[in-house]
Amino acid sequence: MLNVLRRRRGGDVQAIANTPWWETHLRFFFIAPSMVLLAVLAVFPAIMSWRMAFSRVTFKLGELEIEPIGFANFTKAFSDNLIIGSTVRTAVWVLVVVSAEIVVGLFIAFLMSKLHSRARMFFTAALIIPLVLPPVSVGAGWLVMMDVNFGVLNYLLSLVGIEPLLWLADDRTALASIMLIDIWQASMFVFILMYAGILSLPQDPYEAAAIDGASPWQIFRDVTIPLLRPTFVVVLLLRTLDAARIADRMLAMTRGGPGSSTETVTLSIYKYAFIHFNFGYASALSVMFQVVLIILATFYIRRILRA
Amino acid sequence: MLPRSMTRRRLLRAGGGVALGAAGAAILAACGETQVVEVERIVEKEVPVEKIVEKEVAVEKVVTKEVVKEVAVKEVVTKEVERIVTVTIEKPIGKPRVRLRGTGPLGTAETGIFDKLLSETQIELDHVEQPYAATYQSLLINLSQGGSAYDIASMDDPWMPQFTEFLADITPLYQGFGWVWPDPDMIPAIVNLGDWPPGKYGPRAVPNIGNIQSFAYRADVMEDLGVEPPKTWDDVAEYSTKITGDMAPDLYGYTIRGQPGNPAMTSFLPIMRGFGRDVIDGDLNPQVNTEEGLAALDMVVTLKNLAPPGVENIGHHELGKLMYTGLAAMSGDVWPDQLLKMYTPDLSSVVGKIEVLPEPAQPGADHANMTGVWLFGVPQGSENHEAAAEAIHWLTQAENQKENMYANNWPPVRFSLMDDPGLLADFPFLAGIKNAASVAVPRPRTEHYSIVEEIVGRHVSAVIAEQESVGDAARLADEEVRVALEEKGAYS
Repeated sequence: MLNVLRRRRGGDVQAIANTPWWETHLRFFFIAPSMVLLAVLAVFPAIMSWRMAFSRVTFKLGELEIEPIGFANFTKAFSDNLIIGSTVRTAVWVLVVVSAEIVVGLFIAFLMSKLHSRARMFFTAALIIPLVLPPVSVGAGWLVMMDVNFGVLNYLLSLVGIEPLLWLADDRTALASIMLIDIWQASMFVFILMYAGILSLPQDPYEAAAIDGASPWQIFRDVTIPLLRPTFVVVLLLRTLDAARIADRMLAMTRGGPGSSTETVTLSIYKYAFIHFNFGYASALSVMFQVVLIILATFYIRRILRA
Repeated sequence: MLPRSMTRRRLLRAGGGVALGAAGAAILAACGETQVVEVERIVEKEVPVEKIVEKEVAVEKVVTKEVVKEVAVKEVVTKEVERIVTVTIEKPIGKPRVRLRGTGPLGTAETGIFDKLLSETQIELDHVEQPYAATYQSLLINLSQGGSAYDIASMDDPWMPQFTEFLADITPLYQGFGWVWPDPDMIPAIVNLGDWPPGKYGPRAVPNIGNIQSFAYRADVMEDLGVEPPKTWDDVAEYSTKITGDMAPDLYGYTIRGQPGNPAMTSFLPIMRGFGRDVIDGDLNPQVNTEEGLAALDMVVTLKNLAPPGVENIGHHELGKLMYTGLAAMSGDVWPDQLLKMYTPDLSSVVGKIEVLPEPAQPGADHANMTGVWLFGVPQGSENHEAAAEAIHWLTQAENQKENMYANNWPPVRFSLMDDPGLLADFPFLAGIKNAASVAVPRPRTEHYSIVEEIVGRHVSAVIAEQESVGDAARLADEEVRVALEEKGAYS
């Protein structure tokens, strides 16, 4: 190992020449197990998924019959009304929930930063609770609360003289109702990141702004927001990728209904894969979805690096 | 005592050696299973004396131990000669314990059924509990790939056309034990669900839960209306109009499931069949966009408008709740577990007021209740076919089916239990289920049913939610079913 260190420092060349090959390549032996694991668990399924995307896949006893069919699965997606609808719905979902979560999360983080330290601890602990709950359990709980006839939400509305809402039973309000739940839960994730960002901001710009006589709103808009830009980009990246993959909440609460009013891309892919058992088409949809997300992620990561 | 020259390294080595030895001994001990063997017969054969005991031992001391595979050795100590005489026992020792794994509804561990299975058959059954959809997916992948993850698969009857080719033939397995199959006490229409295509593979599954969908209605409400129980879907619509018109929001005429896929389809199918047509015909041609299909969808819209608000997004549990809380007077999508709740005083406000009938049918059409039978099968990939068959045989015995009725409200599949006075006294609706069973038909028998169900169920849901008109929904459902089945090669 000493010889290797010397080489790194540009030292004794002779000593290195005498080092056995396995010692100079020792690092590869150390990372080999994780590479093999990664290959088995991630690379192989990804390759299979790409292969299936260009094939018709049939289940036979003890084997998968994979017959190449070119781009047929990909072209089919562009004339599939269910997928077109799901794509539009997913785009709206991402746009609305991510924007709302950033606004709510930032607002809570800003309020928290103004609180006394003990109060901060208490509220932080309380606000993290929704974050640690599994989405399916959250969905099941809200489903009961949003029940039109027996739910507590309509009961509370009735107390103030408001007519019961159909929540998940009306195709005009179903997606919005699930958005509310997602915003309630995921805003807390945004809050944690924003709160950490706010606490790490330098104090000098604030002092300078105060001396210049800036109002609290001006300080927030012209000092806090620009300084939080790197945090914003990270939040956008993480939340966009996560929000785009939404399916579990719909599956637990509406199964994509009423009709297909809450069906998202990943839910459609799930149905094509595990109800239609059309693995070729489901893989093609997954590949296209994957590519879109990679493009989005690359864009965000570049912004992060630039910031 | 340690030698003076003992170094720390030597001490560690010695310690390591001792630890390895101890671990090895423990592993060996764990591998060898201690088993008490009952000696059934002693062969009167002299064998050489193996060892002389040099001390007094008690006369009554008899030790039995296993020495070689399935042969037991009995050591008898006699007082006079104080010698150990080894006697070979010809009878194989007790049956070894077998561990099986199964998924789908097998039973409830809390009732002790698996403990009883173990004590009576030496079969230990691990129950992998999963939700309905996950059970289907994991079974399809495991069965089709010839996997050995499961030894017993408990399957819903619509899955059978997809699964039969991946299951072991029940007949030779049962015959190996000397049991008769098909069991003459089991309802033949239900037993036949395990044979698909009829006669091609032979019986591949044994029914266990005789779930039958039925039409449930409030007898007291019909009495107040002064009408006979409904026989046609027109009757249902007429009575529902009166009930909802007079009593809403306290009571609504009818309830239906509106969630897309399986829920909406399960509520729609008895209506469509009640109009005289199935969603696909024998050649798998879609039938929703037909005169009968359109009339059935119109009936769905009528009934949905007479149902409690919110049915657009209800599933099985919510529909049951609307019935047992007394908010809905009729439904053609009621299953035994929901009936039990309607008869449970702690939950229900309609105890004793619910009656069960065969599904209504328009004049000229047949009453068609739907089966939801669960059947046991042995995956071909299982390495324990015989033990699995033995466990299935045990689990489906009348005594255990009766226990399941009490514990889980799983209706039996045996004639002897359907007429059991004790069961009928405790579950009055069982007689109605038996009548429903007499006209029950399975869902369309095709390996592609899940696709048909997803597509038609989505469009029925859209009709219920008023997202699509009846005409559009019927046309789109048929088009999509045809395209999906063509891709599957169903028409070639």
